[in-house]
Amino acid sequence: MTHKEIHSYLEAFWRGESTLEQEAALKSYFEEQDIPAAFKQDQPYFEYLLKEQARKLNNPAFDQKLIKHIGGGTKRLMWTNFVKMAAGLSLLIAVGWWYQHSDTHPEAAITELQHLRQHTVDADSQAAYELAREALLMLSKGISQDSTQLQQLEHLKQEIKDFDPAKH
Amino acid sequence: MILPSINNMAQQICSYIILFICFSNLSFGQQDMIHEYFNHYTQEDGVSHIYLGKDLLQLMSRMKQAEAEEEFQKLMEQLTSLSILSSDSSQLSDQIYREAVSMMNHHNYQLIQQYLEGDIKISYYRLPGSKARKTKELVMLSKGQNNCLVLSITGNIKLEDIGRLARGMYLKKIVG
Repeated sequence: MTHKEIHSYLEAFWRGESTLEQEAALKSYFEEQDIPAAFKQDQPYFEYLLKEQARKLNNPAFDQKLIKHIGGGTKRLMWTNFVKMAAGLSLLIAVGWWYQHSDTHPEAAITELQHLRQHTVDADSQAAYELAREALLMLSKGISQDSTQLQQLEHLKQEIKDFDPAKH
Repeated sequence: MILPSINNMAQQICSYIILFICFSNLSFGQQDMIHEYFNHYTQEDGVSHIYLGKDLLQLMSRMKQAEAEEEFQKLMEQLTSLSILSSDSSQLSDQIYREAVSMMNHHNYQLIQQYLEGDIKISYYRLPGSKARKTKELVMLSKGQNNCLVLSITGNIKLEDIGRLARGMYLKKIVG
């Protein structure tokens, strides 16, 4: 290789733009003993690369040990993930089940209490019962095409006003 | 090789269960139509609003009453809410009624009957339940010249049970 080629390869190398072939040529060039003074400053680095590349492990069982170690770790990791997922899932199922089956959802209970407080100032459960009864009877009369439904409707309107004294 | 497949399977099962929980919560979270759409009217002057929730209805279904009330109490036991919105303001009545009809038409409510009693128009709508002959919500709209009333009951309702109430009362009047 000419000095000019070495110079251009080295420039490309230090810019991080060299090709694999150019790098191989440079390594091979710096393996030689008599390097011109112009490239002496780059020689230690290439010597270091060559030395590291040539390094061999003394323990041939190392690979097996490493693979065994990594394999065991993966197993543990997978089981840990599985346990975490199972725990999260159980929590989700528990929350979902509780939300669906609980008769006393905090939000619903609060809303209901607010409504009751707002609209049933003096009403006790018997008054609420009477109102619900009137409403159901009116629905029933409508479905049965009973001619007294309108009376029932007027009666219900009056009951609602009585039930909601704050508004009237 | 087996462990990764178990892991993948577990992940898939988890995903399905999470989706199921999410969707089932959505369907259980559905409220009655008055609460969902007309809550903003409840503070208006000229509007009365009553809401009886599941807990109260359950309590009422267990209250000690005369024997004649048995049918009512059985029905109350099936309900999860009863709400009534009533207005005697001419302007609000028109608005509430129009919104209610539009909402019914857009949300798969079935019109089961509609008739005029004098100058009052009465309509019944139902939202079908998951089982045949069951109703998830029954809504009655009544619109007079200057007033309206929206009544909604939700639960696992059989319309026959509701119809039976009035017939039972009529029979008791004749017999009694």
